[in-house]
Amino acid sequence: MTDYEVIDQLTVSLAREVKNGESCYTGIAIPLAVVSIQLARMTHAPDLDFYYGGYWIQPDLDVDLFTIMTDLDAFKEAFPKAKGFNPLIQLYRYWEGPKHTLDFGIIRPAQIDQWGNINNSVVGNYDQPKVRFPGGAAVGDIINTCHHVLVYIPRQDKRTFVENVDFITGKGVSPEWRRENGLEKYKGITVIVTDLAIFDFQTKDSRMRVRSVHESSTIEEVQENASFSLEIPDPLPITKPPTELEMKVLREKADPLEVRKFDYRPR
Amino acid sequence: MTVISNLSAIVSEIVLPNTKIAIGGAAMFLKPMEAVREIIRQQIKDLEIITLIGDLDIDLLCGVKAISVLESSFIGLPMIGMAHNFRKSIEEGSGLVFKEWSELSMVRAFQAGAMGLPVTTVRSLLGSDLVKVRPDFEEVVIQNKKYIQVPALNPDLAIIHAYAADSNGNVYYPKQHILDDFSLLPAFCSKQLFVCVEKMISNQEGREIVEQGHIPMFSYLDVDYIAKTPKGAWPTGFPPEYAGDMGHFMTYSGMSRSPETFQLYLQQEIYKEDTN
Repeated sequence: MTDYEVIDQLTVSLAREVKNGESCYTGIAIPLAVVSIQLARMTHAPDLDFYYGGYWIQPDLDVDLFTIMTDLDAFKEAFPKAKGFNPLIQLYRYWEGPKHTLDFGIIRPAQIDQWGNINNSVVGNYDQPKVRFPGGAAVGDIINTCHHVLVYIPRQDKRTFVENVDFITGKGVSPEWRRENGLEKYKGITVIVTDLAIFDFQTKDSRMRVRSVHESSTIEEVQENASFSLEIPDPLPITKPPTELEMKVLREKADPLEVRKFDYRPR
Repeated sequence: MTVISNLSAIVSEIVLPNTKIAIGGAAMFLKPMEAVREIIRQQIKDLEIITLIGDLDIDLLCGVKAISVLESSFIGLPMIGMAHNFRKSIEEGSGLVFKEWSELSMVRAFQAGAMGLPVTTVRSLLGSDLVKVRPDFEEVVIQNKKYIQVPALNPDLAIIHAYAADSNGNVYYPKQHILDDFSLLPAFCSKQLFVCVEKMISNQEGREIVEQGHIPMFSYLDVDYIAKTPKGAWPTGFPPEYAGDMGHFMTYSGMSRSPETFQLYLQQEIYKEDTN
């Protein structure tokens, strides 16, 4: 049996959602997403085009991206070897334009509800909130401009998995709404990975459903850590645990500095 | 005519109460931090601040209560955590008005401002509750398609950090420079542009940068004020000159949690230079 932690399961599960040849975007504030992208590229998806905070494409290197971003010498060495380079200027200019639509984005919202709406703005009254989150940056934009969106939530609980979000920073999955608004190309959130399970919206009314439960948790635990009743398939699949190869690449190449743990508060 | 002077003189001349200021840079990169520190040293208040993605710059200004109106899409310390002073200002109802944008809508508003358009449209805001809390955002239908119309941004002043300037007021960026839109966007929609540079160079050195394939980011026609602020973006990163100082951000994150330690931070990192 492979030795791994819950955070590794989360990272690996996210990486497996990535398909080779796709293009994607993440913000720079979410280290686990970046690690999972790099893991995917170092395993099954070498030809992934990745806009890191909007500007790196395909460094094409065996170095973890965090080192490139924070170590100037590593950055200077990586720059000339990059397969392509795209300053942010271009992403901002063609966003919503005809030239390019990214296949997917990865986001980490403060709250998500059963309809796939996300909240990164406030809890409570908008003008004098109980909690003021940082704001959405581009998460709402990504939901309405990428073909689909992957979400991860490092610690699932009743505060992060809510029945209806207090404030919609990014719109949910509703296919009817997307058709009515001419956004049917952009499906919204398709997959959510947490420290307990994987979820999707594959029900008749596009409501959140458990897709598989991690072997380190139970379905009772998954339900207890959501403020709404989850759709649960029968039989209930168990998430495939990380393989030996995935763990080796993750530890030795994709994330030797364990940047993924920046995102994680153990239970 | 571009004014080249020292930071303190320029700040006291152009940063006045009620000035609407766009701050360049984003997400712990390229912030004109030395100018922000000077604004705090001069105790200038009632500022309207606009920035695409705010971090230490905005949290410091919130902490000293210098801002009356803030416009942004995100205020936090990426990878580290919340911006405590910003968060407290809003949660405690200190009177700070926060006009929240999405990142793309704000980019569009900067671009529209630069082009002299009164408004622009964006589709990615469809379905967002931001449309409900921003009376100046409005759903419109153009050629049977729905859009959200947002106002253009035209700040009074943009403050940005750059690599070098020559004595004519042309501003240059080095090879391998990244993330320039964070500075370009606010610069071209604002009525005045103040550029803080790492160093002054000769016209000859400037031409050599141009010949390497790097056009000046701003010609003297664009730039109103220049001050030399070596390492002035610190602790935000200014690659390839210097990386962001993550250790400093972590220290700040801890010290900004309580008013006492925040005051200590101000003394240690900002006011100390006043006596020099």
